[in-house]
Amino acid sequence: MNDSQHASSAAAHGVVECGRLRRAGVVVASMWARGTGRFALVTLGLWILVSLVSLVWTPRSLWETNGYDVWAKPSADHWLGTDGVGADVFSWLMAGSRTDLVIVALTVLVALAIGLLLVAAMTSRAAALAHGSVVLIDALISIPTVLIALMLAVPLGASVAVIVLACGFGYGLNLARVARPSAMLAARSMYVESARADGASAMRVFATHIVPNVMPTLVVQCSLSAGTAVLAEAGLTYLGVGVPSGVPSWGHSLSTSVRFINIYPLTVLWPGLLVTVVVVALNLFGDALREAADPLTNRDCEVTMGVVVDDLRVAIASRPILHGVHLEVRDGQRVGLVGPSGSGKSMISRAIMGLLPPTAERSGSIELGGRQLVGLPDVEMAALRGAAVGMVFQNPGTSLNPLLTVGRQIALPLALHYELTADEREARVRAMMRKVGLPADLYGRRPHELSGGQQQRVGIATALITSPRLIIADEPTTALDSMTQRQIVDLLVSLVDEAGAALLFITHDFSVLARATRYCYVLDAGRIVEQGRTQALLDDPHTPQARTLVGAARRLTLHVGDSHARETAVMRETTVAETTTEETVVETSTTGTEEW
Amino acid sequence: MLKYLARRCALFALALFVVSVVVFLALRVLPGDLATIMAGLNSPPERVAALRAELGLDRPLVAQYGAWIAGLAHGDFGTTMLTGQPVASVVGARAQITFPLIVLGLLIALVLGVPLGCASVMAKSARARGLYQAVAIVGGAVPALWAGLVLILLFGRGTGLLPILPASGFPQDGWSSPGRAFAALVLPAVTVGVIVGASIMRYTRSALQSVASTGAIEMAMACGMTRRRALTHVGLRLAMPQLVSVVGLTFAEMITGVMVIENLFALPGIGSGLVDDLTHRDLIAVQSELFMLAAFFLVIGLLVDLTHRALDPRLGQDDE
Amino acid sequence: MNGTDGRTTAAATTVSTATSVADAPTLLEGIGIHKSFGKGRRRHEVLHGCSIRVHEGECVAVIGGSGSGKSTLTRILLGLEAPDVGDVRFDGEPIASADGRHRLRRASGIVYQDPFSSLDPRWTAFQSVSEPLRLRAHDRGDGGKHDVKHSDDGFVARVCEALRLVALDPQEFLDRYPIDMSGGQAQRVAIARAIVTGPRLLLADEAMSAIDVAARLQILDAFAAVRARDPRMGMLLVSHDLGVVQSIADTIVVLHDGVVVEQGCVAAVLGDPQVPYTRELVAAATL
Repeated sequence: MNDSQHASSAAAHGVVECGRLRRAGVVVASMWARGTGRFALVTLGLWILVSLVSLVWTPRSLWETNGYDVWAKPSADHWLGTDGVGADVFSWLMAGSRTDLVIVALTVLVALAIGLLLVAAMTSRAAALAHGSVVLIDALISIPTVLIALMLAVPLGASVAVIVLACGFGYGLNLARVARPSAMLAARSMYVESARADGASAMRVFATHIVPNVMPTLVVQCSLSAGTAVLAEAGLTYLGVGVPSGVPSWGHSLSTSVRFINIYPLTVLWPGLLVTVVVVALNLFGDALREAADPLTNRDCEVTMGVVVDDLRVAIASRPILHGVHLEVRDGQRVGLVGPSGSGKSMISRAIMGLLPPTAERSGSIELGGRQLVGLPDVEMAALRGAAVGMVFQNPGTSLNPLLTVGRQIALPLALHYELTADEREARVRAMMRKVGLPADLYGRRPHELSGGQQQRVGIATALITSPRLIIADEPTTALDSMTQRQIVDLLVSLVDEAGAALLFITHDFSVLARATRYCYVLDAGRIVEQGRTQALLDDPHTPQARTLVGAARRLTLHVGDSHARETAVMRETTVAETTTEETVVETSTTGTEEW
Repeated sequence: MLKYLARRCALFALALFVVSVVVFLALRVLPGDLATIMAGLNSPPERVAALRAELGLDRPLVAQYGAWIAGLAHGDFGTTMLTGQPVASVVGARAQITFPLIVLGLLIALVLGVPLGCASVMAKSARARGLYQAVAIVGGAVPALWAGLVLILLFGRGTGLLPILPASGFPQDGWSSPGRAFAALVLPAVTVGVIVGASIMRYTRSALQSVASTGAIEMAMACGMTRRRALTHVGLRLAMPQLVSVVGLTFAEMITGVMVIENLFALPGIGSGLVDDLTHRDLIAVQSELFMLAAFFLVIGLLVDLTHRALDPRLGQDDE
Repeated sequence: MNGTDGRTTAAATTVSTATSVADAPTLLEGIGIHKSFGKGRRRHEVLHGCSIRVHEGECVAVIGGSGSGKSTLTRILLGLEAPDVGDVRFDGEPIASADGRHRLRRASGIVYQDPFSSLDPRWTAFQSVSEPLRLRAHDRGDGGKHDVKHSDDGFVARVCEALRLVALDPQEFLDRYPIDMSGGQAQRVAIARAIVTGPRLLLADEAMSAIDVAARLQILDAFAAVRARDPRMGMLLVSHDLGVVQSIADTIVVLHDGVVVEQGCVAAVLGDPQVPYTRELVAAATL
């Protein structure tokens, strides 16, 4: 190994070594950075501190009772006043905190142990064990915790053990149940299969793959369980089966005040408030921990778009995603928008349709048929969606409503925008189904019974049923295999031409574009970098981004026969009649920003 | 669907059996023996022996279990030690308080939790979302006891600022004067409702969020629905199966709160009855009452699962 | 079956146009493979007697429409599933026993379709790529350790080498999680994981379908680099994309409804398909 390789390998090694430690520090720091995380850390820290301190000191002795000074208001002597026997409320709460701390810690441990054991059973490859454990959980989980506590209280008497065992058991079952989906996802994943194929033992797979993927859920659940344990302690102690009555606990403080509520109503204030604050802190702790430690959170970004960019027909502006995009799709035109993933293509379609998440801001100008769309309230946008503009989505498997039959799905835009009788609707839907090549007997079927190609045909039918003037197809063929891809593209193109509508075809694949569009825009990192007639761009791309895309398409296209065949393949779409409108846009090849 | 029904009912029967065994054994796994505990530790041995013979505690375990199950099947749940009344009728009277309380509380929880959960998903500004989040967290962090006490202090007759509702007790003649009976349940039910409502709000929110990310919402909007309508009509409908499961779970969570609240509001329901019997060591009654309560929740679980399955056509495909 | 030459007789006669790199020794061979799924009424026969052969250094592409059985066939060939009827031979030895399958799996690597579900989302690239190394060491009783923190310097070096081979800078990628990678980068990490132990056989199961067209070139280059490093490695490529197949495969096997309908060298099959099904596929691919 030469020097540079050695250095990089050592650096890599160092990186790996420090990884763990750094990560722990980073986690705590990032928890601290959030307001809620800070609150949680501080509260829990105080709780632990107070508990430790209470072992050696409390403001007043717990056993100091003063019959003459009952129900005293807060004072210098008694910071929170006294209770019904003259004991100091503050001291009892302080001492109670350590009881509750112990209870919570033990309960969470028990719950975690039971939960992990059950998760291991559920993800085991022995079918009997896996099914059996699920059945067991379902059977036992319906038994409320308090009943178990009551049952345990019979042999054990009122004690901390009752709370810990009853709650730990119940929460453990709950943990397993909640963790099940992510555990099963991990167990059935390709990376687990890969590891098993490589010879990993079941134990190893569980410890290294399944547990880390279940951890985020477990962390949140454990913190919720911790909170519930505090509440359970209060309730069970009140019922007489929890912490025995000489031992200080928050539940004890709460329960005693109940008896005297007529005399001194405010006595319930402090213990209740304390419990609420601590439980809130525990909940927030779990959330903050999961967000800080899980590499997967907060990555699917909330889109915030900034300002700038203006004018022209369809222009959408945004700072991080779209930096002043201008594109036009005129009536009857088929325009493509091509770019690699992450360039912002989907953002554009959603911005036009008003489908951006509520946290996004868009500005600039989007004119549809002379009407300004930016700033339009959702109600009015909704009137346009599905009537003036139709959209075909990439993944019909997840876009189609699984509860609606094919017939009802396609009819939805009709139902939303027009007053038709059921018969009229059905007639139009069936006509549309014939047009898109769906067999008539699929009318009453549901999406999951259809193939990918059929599902996409349903998507196209839905988009076109109201004869919108503009159709946006967002990567409609990406999720299909190559035979189906071609059929779908041809179908879409012919339907659009027949209706005389405009088409905005978004894709990452230039070869599909060649077949579907005559003019296209190349998008990269939120900017249009090149535009022009599709054919011309294919023959002679100017910008490096366009060159990459075209090069990839060429190299990955099947070359059969000689170069002549190749050319005719690319120019194939001339079979469709020319549209009347003239394209006057000149091909530009700026890599910069605006200026068109 | 029929195959699933058969399987699920078999599962239910199995669970019922397991629960009965567990309850039975739990009360017999005692340091010392059942009869002694029931009679009291200071009782003379003759009394203990008499009790043992009377309750059949000297017979082998299996025989005792068999007798108990046979009794249950005939509606004979044993007799209470204290009053000598049959457990069945005592529990019957108590159930008239507890079950309406639970149902009412659940209704309030749903009315509060589901709309709030939807609203929190639809909230536009970060501030609004933060507010909803806070409501959910604090609502779930309040001890049932405290919530009940606060409500009593506010509205309870006798102590409250606005003394309009009874704060304790249940009319002697039960439901024959429905107005008063209902009034007695209002404060307790609201207490239960508020606390469980926070859970339901959280669950509704996460169910809606997971549905919203599937793309079906987007497509509904693309067809012409407003965001709000897409979320409430399509989203809720799609999230329904998950919500139904959740209701089943919260039911089980509710019982702790219910028992505490019954005690607090001095309602002679099943919950407080159970605690009383435990205190008085009437373990035979406890055995049957525990089993009944657990069975009640198993039935709820069964109904929930069946509803869930009926609501989600995708599950009909291959019976997992 | 009547293993004369391993070819099956089915409704469609197999058409074989020329032979390819047949001089090199046979690495992997499947003879007369049948496989069905489901029981009773739901029983569905996916493969009706397929035979296929991979030589050392050869890249064999298995093509066909969805549902033709491509993935099933390759999984059986790699010992991930057992055929109902038929033989799989690795280096001439049948792998019917657990031991034999074990041996085969140890010597092979797999690249799956979607890198984001084939890489553990909570593992860094280093952890994912080094896993096969750790498992081998553990197996050999070299005191292989679960704990990545105490990993051997040797592991790091090999992981870096594998990453460099697929054109990923180790400095940048060792500590990165899949969610911070693009599709092309994640898939290359998956390739690095598949080849880090120097396998004798590599299966790429629709490895490019989920990747951007622009990134596919990088994947192709990665495969080329891998094959250049290990010229004797055999490769099985499953794909519905004929453009990709044309770029890297030597031989094509065309599957239709669970039967091999045509096979031969790439140029011959694609340039002059004999069977109607193949012609359809080729026509559909030319855009």
